[in-house]
Amino acid sequence: MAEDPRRLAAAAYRELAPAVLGYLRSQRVADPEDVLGEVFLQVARDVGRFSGDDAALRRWVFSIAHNRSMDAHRRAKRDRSTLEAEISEGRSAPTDAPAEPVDRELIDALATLSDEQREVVVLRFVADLPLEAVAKITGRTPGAVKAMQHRAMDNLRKAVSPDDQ
Amino acid sequence: MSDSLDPRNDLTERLAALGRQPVAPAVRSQHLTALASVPVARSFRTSLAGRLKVGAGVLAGFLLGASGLTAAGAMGPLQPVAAKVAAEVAKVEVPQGPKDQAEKKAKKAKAEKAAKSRLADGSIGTARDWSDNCADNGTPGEYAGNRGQYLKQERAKGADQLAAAKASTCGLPIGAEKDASDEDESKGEPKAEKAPAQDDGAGKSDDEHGKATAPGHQDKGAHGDKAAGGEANGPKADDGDDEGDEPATSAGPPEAAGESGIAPPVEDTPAQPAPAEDKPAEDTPAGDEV
Repeated sequence: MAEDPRRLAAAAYRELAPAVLGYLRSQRVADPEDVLGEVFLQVARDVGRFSGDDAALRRWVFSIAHNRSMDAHRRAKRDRSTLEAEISEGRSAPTDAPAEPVDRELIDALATLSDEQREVVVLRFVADLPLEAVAKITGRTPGAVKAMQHRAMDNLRKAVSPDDQ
Repeated sequence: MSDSLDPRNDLTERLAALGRQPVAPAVRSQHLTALASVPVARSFRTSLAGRLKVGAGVLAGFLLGASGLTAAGAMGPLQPVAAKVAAEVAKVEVPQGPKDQAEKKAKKAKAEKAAKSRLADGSIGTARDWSDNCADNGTPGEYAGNRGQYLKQERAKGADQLAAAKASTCGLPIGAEKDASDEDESKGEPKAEKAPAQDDGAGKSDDEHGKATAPGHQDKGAHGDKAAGGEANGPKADDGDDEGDEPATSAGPPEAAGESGIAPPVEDTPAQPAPAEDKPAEDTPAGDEV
């Protein structure tokens, strides 16, 4: 009954790493692969205490990713040069070479949204989380998330296709 | 609205595609290797030990909190049981419950009434002016205990009676002069109201004031019922369809002052033990869907 937590963490990684990476990229985290590793190391440490279904696991992992993303942004704001040094030390594999080309235009368009709107859109569509889970992660009501999502998507459409306004 | 949720929408599809891009193989391998080497405790033992610890903590907290409530007699229907347990555990005399409290109240009221009687006839305590022109409190020869109580007694009868009472020296210690504060009606209630005593029909049960007591129960009269007419305090319902709302918080307007300008006394309830703070650690697994 008690599965090895490391196996659980590995399984979670295989299942969720692409979505978490997409989330981190969308949030323009400085070194998304590095942060991805941090997220799943945390998952591996704590998964033994986790209990819940797949949906709960997904929400939990993205909660960690959300917090790590905010930490990374704070670090970047505080000392950009130190961050670059950390990245170069900690990385032993190429990180800016994803398997497939990243939709740079979309990521740039996401950057035009406010932090809150981007967070909601990315959690809803990149991470594929339901409204209630997004509300819990962001500390809002589902109604507020829904409204924010609607506005954010309008703004995103304008940013992606400005000629269509 | 549905447009943004339409999976065929190009924009949503592009967003979803961002979340499907695989991790670079080298990075993936590195991460999985790191995961395999993370030291973790056995989940079963950890969770069992953790649950035991948490359970012990909860029980200890409950006992601590309950003992305080029990000592203050605030356990409601559980009071007799709680008192028994507390007495057994700590050999402490605690209130037994409503019956015990009622008896205490009755004793107290009796003593106060007796004190009032003594003051009224001046036989014990301060000798006061209760001449024939002083209005009694409904029983011939009996008056409210002191000057302030007398004024309150007369005020209840009407403005004319109050004016007459103020003009008189009724209730004043013999030899004393009228105080200018008599003129200020708002100061007619110098002390907070106490719990209404058992009344033998001599007058309103809320005539007991003027004694130096800490704020106690609210009277049933004009002062304390603002809360009844005010807003219902408590957490606002989160109906989930508010735009841009922050998570619900519980707040309410402060209780308004009573008619006399004195704020209603705060109910004398013991401090409640602070609820265990459910502050989630940032990355604590919260698997249980709340």
